[in-house]
Amino acid sequence: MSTSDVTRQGLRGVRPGREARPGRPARRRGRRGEQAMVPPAEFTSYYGKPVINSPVWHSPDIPGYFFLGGLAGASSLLGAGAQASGRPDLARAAKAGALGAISLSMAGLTHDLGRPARFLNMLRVIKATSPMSVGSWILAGYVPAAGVAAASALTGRASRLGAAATAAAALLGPALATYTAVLISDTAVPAWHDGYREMPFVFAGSAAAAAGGLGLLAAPAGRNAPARNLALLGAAAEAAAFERMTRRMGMVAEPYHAGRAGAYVRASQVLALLGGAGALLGRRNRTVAALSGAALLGASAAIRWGGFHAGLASAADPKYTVVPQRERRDSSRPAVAEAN
Amino acid sequence: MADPAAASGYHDPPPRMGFFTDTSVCIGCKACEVACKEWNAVPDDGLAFTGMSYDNTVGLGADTWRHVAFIEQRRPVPAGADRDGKEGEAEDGLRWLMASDVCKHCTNAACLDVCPTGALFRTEFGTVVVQEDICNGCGYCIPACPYGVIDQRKGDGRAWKCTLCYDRLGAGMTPACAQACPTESIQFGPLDELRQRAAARLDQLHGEGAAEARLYGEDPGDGVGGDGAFFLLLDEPEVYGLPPDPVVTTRDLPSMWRHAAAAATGLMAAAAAAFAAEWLGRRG
Amino acid sequence: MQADGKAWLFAPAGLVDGPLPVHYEPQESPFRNPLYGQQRNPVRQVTGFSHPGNRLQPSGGEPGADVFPYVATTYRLTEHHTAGGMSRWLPYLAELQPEFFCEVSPELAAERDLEYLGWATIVTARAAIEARVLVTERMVTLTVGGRRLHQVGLPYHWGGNGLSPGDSANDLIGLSLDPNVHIQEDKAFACDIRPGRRPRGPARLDLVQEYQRRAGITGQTGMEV
Repeated sequence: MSTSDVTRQGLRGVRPGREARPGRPARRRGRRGEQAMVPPAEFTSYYGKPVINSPVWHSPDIPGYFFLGGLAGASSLLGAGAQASGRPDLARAAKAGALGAISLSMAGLTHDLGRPARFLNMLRVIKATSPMSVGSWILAGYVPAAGVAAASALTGRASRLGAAATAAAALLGPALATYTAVLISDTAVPAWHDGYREMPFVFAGSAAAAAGGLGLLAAPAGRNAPARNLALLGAAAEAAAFERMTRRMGMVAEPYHAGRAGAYVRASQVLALLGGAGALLGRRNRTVAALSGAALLGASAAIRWGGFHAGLASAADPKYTVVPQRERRDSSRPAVAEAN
Repeated sequence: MADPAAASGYHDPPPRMGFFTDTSVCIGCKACEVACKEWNAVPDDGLAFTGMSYDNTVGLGADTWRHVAFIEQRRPVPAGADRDGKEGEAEDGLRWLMASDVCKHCTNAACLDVCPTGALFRTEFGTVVVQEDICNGCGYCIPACPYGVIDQRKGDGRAWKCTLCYDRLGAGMTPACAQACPTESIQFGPLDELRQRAAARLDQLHGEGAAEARLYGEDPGDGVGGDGAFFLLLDEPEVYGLPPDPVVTTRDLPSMWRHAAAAATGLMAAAAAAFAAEWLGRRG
Repeated sequence: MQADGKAWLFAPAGLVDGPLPVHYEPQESPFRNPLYGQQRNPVRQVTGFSHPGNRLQPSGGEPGADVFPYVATTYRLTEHHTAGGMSRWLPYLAELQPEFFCEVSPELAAERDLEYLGWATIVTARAAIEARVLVTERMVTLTVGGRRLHQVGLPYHWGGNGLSPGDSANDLIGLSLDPNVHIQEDKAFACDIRPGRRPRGPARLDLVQEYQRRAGITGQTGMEV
């Protein structure tokens, strides 16, 4: 309320409560003048609402695609190598697995669109700035190649065409397995974008582990050493890359270790350990090999779901957007931060 | 400032058009929200009491293209002189910030960059618009936007956002929100002219002692190359729900592709090694 | 405004309660008139509206005045139009202020245990209505006569129909009319506020009557000149 005296000299003693104008405040919240390099303990948001919009992609469609796409791409490599080194059983398993995985993927991708009937609009343009556009074209080449390769391997017909298709699928396979890492990193989602350097290695490693796991599971025990080798290399690479990624991200890595995402990540790590150990130690035993293969497949799937949910969690909480950006802004303009 | 229309291939485009939203004169009437919805036939965004001061709209999305934010703050304000003419100490006053948020129509627009169908495009006015007959609802633009603007419409599947009234611009008219704003908080015009006006207004406010007034999105050197719709704010951006230092994700994309290429090469090498090891093992 | 197109401070004719403006307390006030012995406007129109549905509350130091210890006021929101019948049906307006709410200060919320975003029941001798609770520092607790006085803010745009139905603030108001323009006092009246939703059906009337009993309200309360 305002109380004031009207005098000949004008208004006296006006309490400015009702006419509060922006003025130089006596103090500001979260002062960090002397601590320009220390992250602010508190941060401001608009009623705790997220700053960015969460991805509208659904589970199981999209994390399922990351898993199956990686599996398919790496399986094509395995299949090509198996064919070249005279392991028809492994080659058939890998090629069939690749086709099955990519077919399921296509169903999931189409289903997840807001307008599935307009799926082919993905081929209207080729845009290098859009990982999804690049990926659509990779798929446009890969899917027929994987189909022909698998068909030829399973029917035993058209072996020359099959060989060419196998080679094509093997060449596109690594691109298929890694472009999805670029796809999720190329967003404003903190837990995805901030990991962009290591994310392709996490995806590639996971894909390799999954393909190796499928080989262990589906191919007869005697000649599945390459599958085992690929699985172990992949699992190791994935673990190393994931560790480096989450360390580098600082507070933004929190969602990977908390809540639903954290549960998936931990499950992935346990399954990878079990699968890797089983693959290494139980190499003579068909059952152990198969179980290891299944565990490795499960580990690869689990890390995709974990990463997916970590992204969603980091988008939903404004602190993962505001705090790193505020730090970055204040550290690049410390004089301004202090003056305020 | 870069001319995104010319950079997109338009020959001799008209001057870049945009918004300058001066939130220091916003009265929180929400005429902008209503005018926008009426002109663009945007559906209502749900009837839910939020208790976020007078903001029941919450934020920008597929069904809200102008969003008025309300923030109540307890601020020290300088007291007037007392009877003896001595300056009073700062007291606690209350201020109510109001601000109309909108799509920023960034110079480097992440939504535009990541759209795989070409639905999102740059208009001759330098604005960014979604073609709703092409959008297949892939949803990629949604998490790409650093400001959380564009979103998917429920029940429709496509992505929707402010068009800067592209249809009105084409007819030489003013966008609906700017037309409706009773205080000219929302100013529309050529971006260069708006930037001059904004600089003058900022000087004026600073001269009056409003040290916290700042421009947001005006700087062509910022992470998105400057916004086609920029603001004058009276506090930090995050107070209004805006990112303090937005960067277009595309900036890091070349590096991302390089890392992916390295990983893909590594995968190929790992596959080769997996076979070679076994081959070597058998040979040895 | 008088015949010469100007407003007069001293109006010898044309005003039932002229010639000079003086201060009277509203029909229902927690305080005695500090300026005069005459509590309220002596020529207000009130006796003609005596009705069981329009009981008035004791004021000032009268016994029972403390049953309604807070003052309420009604006001408009920008988003709705007059009584709301024209704006509650329009999605674009209804969504801007979708529910009837009351505004209370943090101190009043603490005193009456009102939960932010919860429900409150506001009661006068006429009616009991319910509203969502918006706790805000914009509602100032006044200090009047050395006493802390809380206000309850009530937007008046709601009614039982439309996309955004809600209780009507006008239900609380008693008919005590200005003698010149015959408008009721809907900007200043006394009330009580309590947490939770109001009773439904006959229990709602029981609640109002319970308040009337506690305040000792009869057909004569508030009718004196």
